Amino acid sequence: MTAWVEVTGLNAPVTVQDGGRPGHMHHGVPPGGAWVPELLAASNRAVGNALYAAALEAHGRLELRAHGRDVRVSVDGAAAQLLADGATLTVPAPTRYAVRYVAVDGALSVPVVLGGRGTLWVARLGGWEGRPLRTGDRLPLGAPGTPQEPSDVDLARLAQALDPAAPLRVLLGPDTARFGDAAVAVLLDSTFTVSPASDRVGQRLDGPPVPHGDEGAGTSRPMVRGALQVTLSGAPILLGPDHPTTGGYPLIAALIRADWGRLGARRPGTPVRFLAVSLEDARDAWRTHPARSVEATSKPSGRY
Amino acid sequence: MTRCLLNIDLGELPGEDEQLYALAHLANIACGGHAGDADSMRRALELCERHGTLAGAHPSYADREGFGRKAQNVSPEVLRAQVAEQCGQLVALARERGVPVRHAKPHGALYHAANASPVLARAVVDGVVEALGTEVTFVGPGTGALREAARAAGLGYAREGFADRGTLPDGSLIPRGQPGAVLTDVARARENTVRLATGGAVDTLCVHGDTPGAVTLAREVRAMLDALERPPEPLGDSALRLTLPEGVDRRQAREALCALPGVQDAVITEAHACVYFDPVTPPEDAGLVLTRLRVTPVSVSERPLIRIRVRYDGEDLPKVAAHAGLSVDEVVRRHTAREYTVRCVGFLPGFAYLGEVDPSIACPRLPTPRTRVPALAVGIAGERTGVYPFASPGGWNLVGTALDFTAFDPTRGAVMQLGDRVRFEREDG
Repeated sequence: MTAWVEVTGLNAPVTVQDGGRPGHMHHGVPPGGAWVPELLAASNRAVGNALYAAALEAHGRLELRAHGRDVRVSVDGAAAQLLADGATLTVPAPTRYAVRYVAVDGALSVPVVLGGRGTLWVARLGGWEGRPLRTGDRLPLGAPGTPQEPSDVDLARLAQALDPAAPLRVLLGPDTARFGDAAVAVLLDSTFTVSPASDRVGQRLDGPPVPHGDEGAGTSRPMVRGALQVTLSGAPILLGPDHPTTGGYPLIAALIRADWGRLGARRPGTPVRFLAVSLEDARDAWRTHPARSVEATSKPSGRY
Repeated sequence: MTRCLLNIDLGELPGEDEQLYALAHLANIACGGHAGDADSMRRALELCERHGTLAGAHPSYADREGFGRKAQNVSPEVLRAQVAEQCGQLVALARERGVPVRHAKPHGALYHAANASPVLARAVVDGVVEALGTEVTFVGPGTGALREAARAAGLGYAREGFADRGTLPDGSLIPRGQPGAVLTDVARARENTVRLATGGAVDTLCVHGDTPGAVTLAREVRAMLDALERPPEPLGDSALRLTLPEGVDRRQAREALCALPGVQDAVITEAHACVYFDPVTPPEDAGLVLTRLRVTPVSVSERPLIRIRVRYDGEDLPKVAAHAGLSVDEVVRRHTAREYTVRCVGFLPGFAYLGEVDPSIACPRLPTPRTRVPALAVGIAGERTGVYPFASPGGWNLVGTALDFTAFDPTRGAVMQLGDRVRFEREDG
């Protein structure tokens, strides 16, 4: 290992994350990926990495020290700053969004597991030893590329995508019939807030209870990131990147792909309103979205 | 898409397979013109009733010798009377059973001759109306004199296509007797079915009851129409949930879906399949892929057999035994007596849903899931059993602990894969 960054301090969960490991859901492995994909992509772009290279997803303050070479660092897509060999950088806890991303040039060269470098805590795999980071962890670095100064346009698009006041767009269904019109009305007409009881498996919402249709068949059904389940108590849960790949609850709606990050970026207590859109609107929103990259849409190569 | 129904010409031949009635939406019953007598009509009506098939009349030129395949030189007035008499005979027998007769379709040569002649078409339609009234649907070719005559008489009209007949480039049928006229190849008939049923130009598809392999063909066509009726359901904009047709090989289904351009992954669950993709490039025909699979089961004996040694020390074992009204030993014996297959993989990395558990020891899941189930716990929920790959929350009844077993390998993925065979072996001490 010729160059690495050392974690010299942290006060909240920090994990290595990347674009996820799509293509392994049939092994029960969730897709993973950054909680706020566009923020990861912007940070990587600013230091010259591939958009979904491995970086740090931090819920709190983080201190890093560079070893072996000077390291360029971008926090949340801001212009890269230089961290000299042996120097320490303190990244403050996120204030604007729920998490923040710290990308380093050359990216974190942790091992690829099942096609991805991200941490999957439920299965103790990927990232750094399959777990959240600790003080003293030394993360190897890859070869650096050429940093790109973020443009005002890029940053404006990013802020717009993550706008904490914008509605979260959903496609209703596929099990809307099992809930009924009253439940859909509660979902679309109410203001919820992001619950502190949220993690990468699922984001819970507080608010008026949504009448649940039935208890679910109990048999497993396919799930997707962003799927909106309703528990028996009426609390909506939006499945996160590390969601169980199958589940028994009926789905009243699912978040559109373009708004995965908009949800993930919301801090506990932030209001959430839902807006039902058409499939066409959803595709249009994704087509030009800052989180979309051609590399992320190609077929995964790590098949077995 | 409006519903496309399968119609089959029935009551024509002795020894006809009853399954055809179960597969047809509409039965066109021969009523004495080209085939059929009072006995065959009674049997056909009884089978329609048993299988919920809609009964209809299938009048023909009076030509039993030629099976109604050759045009006859009869006047319109005679033709009208023949059609009315044949339909009337069926409706009289149907009335005895209380079975409604709500559609009619001319047979063989009459079908084609009447469609080419407005005068004959009108005679056929008038004969049908005389026997059955105007509350019937006429089944006939997509365009031509029959459609015009039926419309003029105020009848409903169902445009018919042929799942088992080859077509020329201009869309017309390849005449019988020429190569490719009758499709006995299932794959081609399936292709034909999809094209016709989704093309918007036909309302009903016909399978001939006398085509070789008619039952197989009818089963395929019906499965396909059923699948088309249950279109894929969007799960957000990056996934489609599909209904898994009964009887398809689950592993093959997954592989077929994964092979589609644009599909990043496919997951099979108990009753569904799901494909995942970039929202901008959804797969084109995921809904049809499953219907193209052979319904015939694949030999499973080639699939790997995984043996798992289990210490039966689960904390819910006494409860499962009490629920079954059996001793703990007997529950263990029945749990180890069977070979299971992996029906789906999901929930957690490497978690395999194994079925079927002996119904006598099946046990509903816990009303409230445990917040922590230890890794390698063996559980039963309903008629499924499985091994928890990791410590996690879980609601299954815990019956034991798997020994020296890894359910998930970080380099290879799930150890138990779709379709694999699994056996549990009791380990004491």
